Amino acid sequence: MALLSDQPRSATVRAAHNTETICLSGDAFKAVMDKNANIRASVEAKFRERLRQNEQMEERPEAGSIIQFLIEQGVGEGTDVLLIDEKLCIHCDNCEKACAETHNGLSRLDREAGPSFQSLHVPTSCRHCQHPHCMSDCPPDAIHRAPDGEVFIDDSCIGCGNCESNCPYGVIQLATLPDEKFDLFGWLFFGKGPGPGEEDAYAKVNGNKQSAGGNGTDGGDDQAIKRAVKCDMCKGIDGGAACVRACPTGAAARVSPEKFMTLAALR
Amino acid sequence: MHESILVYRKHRYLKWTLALMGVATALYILHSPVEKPNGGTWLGYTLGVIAAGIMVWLTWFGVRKRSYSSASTRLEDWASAHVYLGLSLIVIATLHSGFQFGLNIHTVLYVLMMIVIISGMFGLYFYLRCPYLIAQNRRGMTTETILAQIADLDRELRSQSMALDDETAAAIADAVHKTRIGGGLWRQLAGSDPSCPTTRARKMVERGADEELQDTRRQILSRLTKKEDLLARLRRDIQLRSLLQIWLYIHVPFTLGSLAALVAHVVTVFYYW
Repeated sequence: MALLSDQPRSATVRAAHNTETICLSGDAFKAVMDKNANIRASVEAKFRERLRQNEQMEERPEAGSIIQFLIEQGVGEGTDVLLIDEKLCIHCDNCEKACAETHNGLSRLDREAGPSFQSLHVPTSCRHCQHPHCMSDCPPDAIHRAPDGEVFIDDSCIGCGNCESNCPYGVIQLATLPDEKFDLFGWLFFGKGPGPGEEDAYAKVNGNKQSAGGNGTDGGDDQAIKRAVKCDMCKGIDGGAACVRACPTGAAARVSPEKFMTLAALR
Repeated sequence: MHESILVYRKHRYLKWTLALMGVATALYILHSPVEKPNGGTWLGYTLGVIAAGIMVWLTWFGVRKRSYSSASTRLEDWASAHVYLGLSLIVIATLHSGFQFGLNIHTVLYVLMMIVIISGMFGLYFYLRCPYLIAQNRRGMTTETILAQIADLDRELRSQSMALDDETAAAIADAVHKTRIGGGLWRQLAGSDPSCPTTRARKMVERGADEELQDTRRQILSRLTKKEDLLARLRRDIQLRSLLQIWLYIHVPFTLGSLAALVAHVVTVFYYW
């Protein structure tokens, strides 16, 4: 802001995760903008947007406490966070069922678990951290970041559980391979496999847990080989995250930290 | 970001529905058949086909809701359109009937359809109102957290009650072992239990007068009061969550009933044509 307005810098910034900072001089910055009209237009649009957000935030000081809450939950270090608006959530668990249905019957999120503040709920689901804790000690190097930012675990996982232990947010679980899933009509008319969202399909996580965070029934097979499972942001599935697509009331949304200001201002 | 189904995509489906209802009403006003307006005129048939198509599409929502891997549109698109197009049937189907009602299969269809729509209105109200009330009631706690707190209180109450007289200790044992949460439909919808053993035990402890055990009684009273508060929140939570579902027990069966009546209506119309 100060680079454009020629005013003394007034904002205080605190990094939510490890950050590289660079120092820009106003003259050099303006020289670059003078040479490129597109960059100037883009920066000036951002400047106006930021001014508008600042005004909104000044009018509603409680918006700041929402951002404070999100940062305290560690979502500041994420790149894509599932946030649920409790004023819209009808507790149908369609998000969990959609997650399970699109991932071989294993849900990677626990809607109900997790903290809430001012009707904003942070469910137990991977935030796809900028510097993923889970990646730090994976013997077969099975955890990767895809070009679109999603952190995923590939098939070389040996089920050692290091990532599960290292994740501070409890969003990685060890699970055995679930039963084969059939489509709706296969289940409805021919009784094939577990039905849509039925517990049998994902009762094998960690021996007695149903989904990330765990609230299911005993149904584990201790002898079976387990693999680490976590949200992969529906990588490779058309249409984006199934949890958001399957929410009938618009309560579930995936939000990147850059949009926290907008989110807080809108509430 | 987070957007209610009523305002979804800047009221896109409300606008479509208003346009549809506006065109249907305008045509109905301008239309002057030889006989009274009825379902057998060209406009009557057109509106009937539109209404039947909408009914079948609205019913398909149940299938779409369970098609979790469908990438075509977000389910919220369907839900928003479901609400508005469902409401539009009040106008479209009424104009299709030409305001002619009687003791026949056609009116049975109309009545069934109206029951579905009205139950849907209740459902919409519950969907818009209950989530906020649930969040307010829970105050950031989950059902499991509340149950865990109640279990902790029960453990403490059990050990502390041994110091009290037999009658009060028995009342506290009842509070620990016989307190019920949820149950049948009416109990869930009531949101309270007038004969709750915890309330009975709390009242008995309040009445106690022995000087020597005042401190113990105070601690037990504090725990019973806290448990009562948690129970009230849990029962209210169950009540609100029941409201989110109960309307479906009317909406879905009557939807299937109105589909059957729709088939009968269409067959009858063409049989007697």
